[in-house]
Amino acid sequence: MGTVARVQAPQGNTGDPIRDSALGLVPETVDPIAGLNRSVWRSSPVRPALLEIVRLRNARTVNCQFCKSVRYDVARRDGLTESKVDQIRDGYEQSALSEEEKLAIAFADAYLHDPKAMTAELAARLKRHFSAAQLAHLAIALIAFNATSRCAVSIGGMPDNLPITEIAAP
Amino acid sequence: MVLTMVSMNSANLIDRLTIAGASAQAFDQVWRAIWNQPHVPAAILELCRLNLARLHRAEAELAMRMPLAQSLDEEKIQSLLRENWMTDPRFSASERAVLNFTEWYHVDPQSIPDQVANEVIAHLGQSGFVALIEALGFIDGRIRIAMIYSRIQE
Repeated sequence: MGTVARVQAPQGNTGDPIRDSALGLVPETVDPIAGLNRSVWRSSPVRPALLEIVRLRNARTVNCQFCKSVRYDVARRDGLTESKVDQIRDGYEQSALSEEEKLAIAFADAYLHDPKAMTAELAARLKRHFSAAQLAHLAIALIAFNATSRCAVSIGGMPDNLPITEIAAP
Repeated sequence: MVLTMVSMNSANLIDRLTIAGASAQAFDQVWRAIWNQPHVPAAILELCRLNLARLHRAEAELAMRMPLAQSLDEEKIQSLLRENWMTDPRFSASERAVLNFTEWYHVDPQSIPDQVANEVIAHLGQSGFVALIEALGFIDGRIRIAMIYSRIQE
């Protein structure tokens, strides 16, 4: 990964991390992407801590330092502690995470690694546990998290490490 | 359990996601925006979509064509799917730079060499580069979720 960003972010200072990033170079898409991020957090039939677990699993897999360092305030208020975040790693199946949380990670992993290899057993468990609306929302959230974190990695210039920072949900 | 495969692709996937309400509407707006932005032609994005579908072995995705990219020649598409895009003179230098980038992106965005990214920037500019990586993320994501929904929705 390059240590210097491949493109320069616009000089905006809107306070919106998406608009102020290099994504601001494409005005035709930045508003829809920011709107999607807002909908993912504001219109969710899934509790925020579960969304945050999926987001952090993606961040860890993609190795986006920016995404890994962020904690959404709504997820913390919903009970996502750092002790719980520490369990979103290899071997999570044996962790103290709940069955719902483990299932959400398994869903993210199927997406992130080999979607074609998703088992019938996992598909059946997902359908049993989540409503159709919850699954659709999780799918949309996962695409949004993954697409934006891969954007950040592709642009480059990411530090090796960043302190954990709480931010307000959009 | 015996599975009956439901063929889903990035076009019909939205029918299954509309149940999510506001987030599905916002998601659809992003999809329209990435295909209509002025920095990367829809025909180049269609080549990327088909190349990603090939790399995922996503048959239902390979069987569809984006209406916005109707100008794309079917013989050129077949050449792409036979992996001849590097040598086939029908592919422009810009298309080759983008398709090369797409293959690195598919493997792992962390692995993309500066030279590969810089070639895209040389052809598309900085805004085009960002528009491309946004599009690749949402196109690839839709292919992945369509494959997953093919298993969930039987």
